[in-house]
Amino acid sequence: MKRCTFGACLIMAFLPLLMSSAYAASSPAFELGIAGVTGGDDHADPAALMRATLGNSFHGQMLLYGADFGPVSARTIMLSGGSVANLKGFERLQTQFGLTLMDEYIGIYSSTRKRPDQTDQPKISKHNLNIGAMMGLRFQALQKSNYTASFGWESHLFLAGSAGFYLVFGVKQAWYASVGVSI
Amino acid sequence: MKHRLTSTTRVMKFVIGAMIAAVTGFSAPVQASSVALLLGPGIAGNGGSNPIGLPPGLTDIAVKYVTSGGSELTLSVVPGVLFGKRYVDGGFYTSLGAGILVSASGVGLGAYSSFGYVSGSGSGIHFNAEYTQTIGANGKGWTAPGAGRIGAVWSF
Repeated sequence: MKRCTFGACLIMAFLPLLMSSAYAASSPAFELGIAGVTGGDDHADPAALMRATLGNSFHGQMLLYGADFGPVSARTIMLSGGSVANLKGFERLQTQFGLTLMDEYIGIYSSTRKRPDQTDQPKISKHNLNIGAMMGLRFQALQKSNYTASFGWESHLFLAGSAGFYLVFGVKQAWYASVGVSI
Repeated sequence: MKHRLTSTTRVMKFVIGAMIAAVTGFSAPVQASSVALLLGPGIAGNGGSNPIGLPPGLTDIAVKYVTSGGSELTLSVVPGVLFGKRYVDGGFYTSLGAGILVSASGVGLGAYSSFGYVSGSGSGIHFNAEYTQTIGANGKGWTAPGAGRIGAVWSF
């Protein structure tokens, strides 16, 4: 990962934990997982998932994925936070709602251009920041002692600027499997 | 070929099972029956949604019928024809079910979940907003059409 996005990744990685610690509740849980994320085109990118849940009410989550295509480097970070509640009539099935902050980064690098520290300098780079709504389902498949295994299915919706008037929006749909521990 | 047939059979078993579960009913609160007309562009699997047509085209429309027991039928071109169960919590609801999925890559079968909001309770006409996500398979692989729509619901 290029240096210009690494700092942002690091800060955003800790934001879910900071968001969770803002609520004075017991038994926080932390999860790591793998995910597939599609941008509405029936093509899924593999992603890494970090998640923190407080009580059974609030969560913060980060999805991180990207790819390198020759000199082109793409990274997407989706940072979500919101509430989680059991679906009526189900013990292990939950609905979750919240907000998502997304940073889509793309950089075109040339090996002939170097920074003073000899790392590659991008010829062109751009961050696209979006904020949107998140909604989804979550199934707790296993809970033994302090350890959990869960599956999630969620969508992140981003209005497309003024075209949102015509109900145009971008969507990122994610599925994940995670394991976690509550402390 | 045998593997593909087995996978298709499993998907069909899941869809049929989900439909039976929806019909026989998980526990759901009794509510008024309703018919909703929702407008908004579908996400057909070729990127995000296009602008809604003026006037709305066939792919921009969904009609939903919900029984007093919470069973829900969705008729739309995209994401398709869906049957499930609605779970209401205040003005918000979550629906789970399965059905026939329609996307740019073809027609298939799959599961769906919807998240929506209705502005009022009781009989009358209310505002309704909803997003539907799906996941399923067709002859060309997996597909996940969806739709975000707003409109009016008539409860009776």
